[in-house]
Amino acid sequence: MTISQSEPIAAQDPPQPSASKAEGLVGRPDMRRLLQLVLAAIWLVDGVLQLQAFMFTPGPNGFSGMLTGMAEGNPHWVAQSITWNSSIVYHHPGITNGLFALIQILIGLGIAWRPAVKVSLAASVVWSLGVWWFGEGLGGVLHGDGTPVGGGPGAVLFYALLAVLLWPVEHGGEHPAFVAARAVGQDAAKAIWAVVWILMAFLTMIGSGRSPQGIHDIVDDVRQGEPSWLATLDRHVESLVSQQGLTIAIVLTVVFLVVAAGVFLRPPLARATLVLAMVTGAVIWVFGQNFGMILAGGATDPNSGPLLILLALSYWPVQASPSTRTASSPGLGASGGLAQAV
Amino acid sequence: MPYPSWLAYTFAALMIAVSVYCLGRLILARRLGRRNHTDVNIAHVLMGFAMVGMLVPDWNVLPVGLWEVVFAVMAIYFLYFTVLHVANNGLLAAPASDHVAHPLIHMVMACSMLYMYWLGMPMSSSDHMMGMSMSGAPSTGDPLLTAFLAIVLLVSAIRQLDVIGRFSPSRTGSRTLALSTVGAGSAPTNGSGSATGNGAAPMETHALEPLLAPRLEVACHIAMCVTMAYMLLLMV
Repeated sequence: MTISQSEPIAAQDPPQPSASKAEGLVGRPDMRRLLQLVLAAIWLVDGVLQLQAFMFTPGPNGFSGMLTGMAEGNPHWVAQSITWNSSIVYHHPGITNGLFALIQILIGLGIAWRPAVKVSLAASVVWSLGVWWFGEGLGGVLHGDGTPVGGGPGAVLFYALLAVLLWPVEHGGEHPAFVAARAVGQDAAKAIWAVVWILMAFLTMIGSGRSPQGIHDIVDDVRQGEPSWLATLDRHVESLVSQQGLTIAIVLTVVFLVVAAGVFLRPPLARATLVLAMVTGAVIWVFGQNFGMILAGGATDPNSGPLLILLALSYWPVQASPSTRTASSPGLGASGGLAQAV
Repeated sequence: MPYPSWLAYTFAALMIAVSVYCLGRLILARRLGRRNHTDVNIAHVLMGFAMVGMLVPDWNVLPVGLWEVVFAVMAIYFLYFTVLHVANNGLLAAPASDHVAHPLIHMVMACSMLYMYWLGMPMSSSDHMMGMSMSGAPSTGDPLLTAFLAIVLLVSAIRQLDVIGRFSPSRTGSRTLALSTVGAGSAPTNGSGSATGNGAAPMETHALEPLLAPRLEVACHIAMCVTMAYMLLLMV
């Protein structure tokens, strides 16, 4: 057995004209494709998490109980629809949960498989909105529990938003300033960014998130079942934020508003605000969401932290080198043939 | 916690299919004199059958101790080739990143298998897979490490699926990349996609040749990564 046997065949073969088209596939994907793949990986993680034993448990301690809990505090007509869905899951936990998992796994694999990118991204938008309604109770937005620290306005909304911003079309003109501009155009992308972060600033300042113990209670909730090192960290955070809910809410609001304005600034300042957005997303993910509670078991997704970071990356200013643009056909990405398929 | 047995049997059936296919692939490639990723396919066969035994303990074919030895040897083997490649080419030598990733991910898979055995897999026959996440049996290990291994495997599945198109005949315009058509040894391919092995006459196209398509090997890898990640996440 030699090392050559374990190496990809494509790379061992001598260069051939017919194989040149495949080089784009072998090489590094462009930024948009990379972000699509990260999104695909998150969907796949979600799908596999959906197969945990906890999800198949009927009753209040299982997935249907979790869904039923999402109805609480919502308007009657919303709560009724959530309860209706959870009752179906309650009576058929195996079939429904298996189906939910399969759909999410297929979305993840579909985004990764180039011929199915568009249909999978479209499906992810539909599925995300459904999960936001029936699985997240509209992110708690309607009853003041939608603070971004806890995942508001609903982590799954960011999946849908990213599917739109990473849609494989070219509407960003000759030299799009960032990845998200390629799909919806520069002005629309900037407007979306501003709306998202202003909404988050708004949600931070309303409802339970700004109460003195609001952040403390969120950290206390996610601490249950976590590994000892993380639980210890949480206790330290809890003591720091105790009775400081309003102060933290004000600080976060200012941060979100600065981030919202960031994409309208010159590239160096825009980069600084994007870094601020990513750091904020990471801090929220670690301390407010405990990595989506994946380590505690029973999580359905990694929550909004990684999605916020992914969203910020899709707005990272890019410089199109003349040679790269020349090498690519109009409408293609930096990697030419690669982008054609995505 | 109750756990649907049909899910364990479904994944077990998938792993049996992958193992049997990879075994057949090894035999077919040898009979046709085609080059094949022998080490990868052997790894897939072994990991597939081992996972079947974890999912459905009654179907376990080897003692746990023996499986541990097998996967320890496998991990060392792939570690050796990872180190060898990095030593010769550097970690970031483009476009060799896939060459590093290939033995590296199989080393991670072998280590994941060892990790699961060390945490007490498989369950006793009566517990089956349905008790995997019950407290105490098996041990949950370190959730961070468990989740990390699972996520690495899922990322590998996504990455492989992304590049699976490089083996498509329609994309490459040649069957060279779509089929494992290089003969044993390192003989170069000719323009038609057929190849000679060790200076022998050009090989005939065999009816079973499409079964050796690298895309199928990649698909097996993806199925294996997803299944293994699923088993790991059950232990968090």
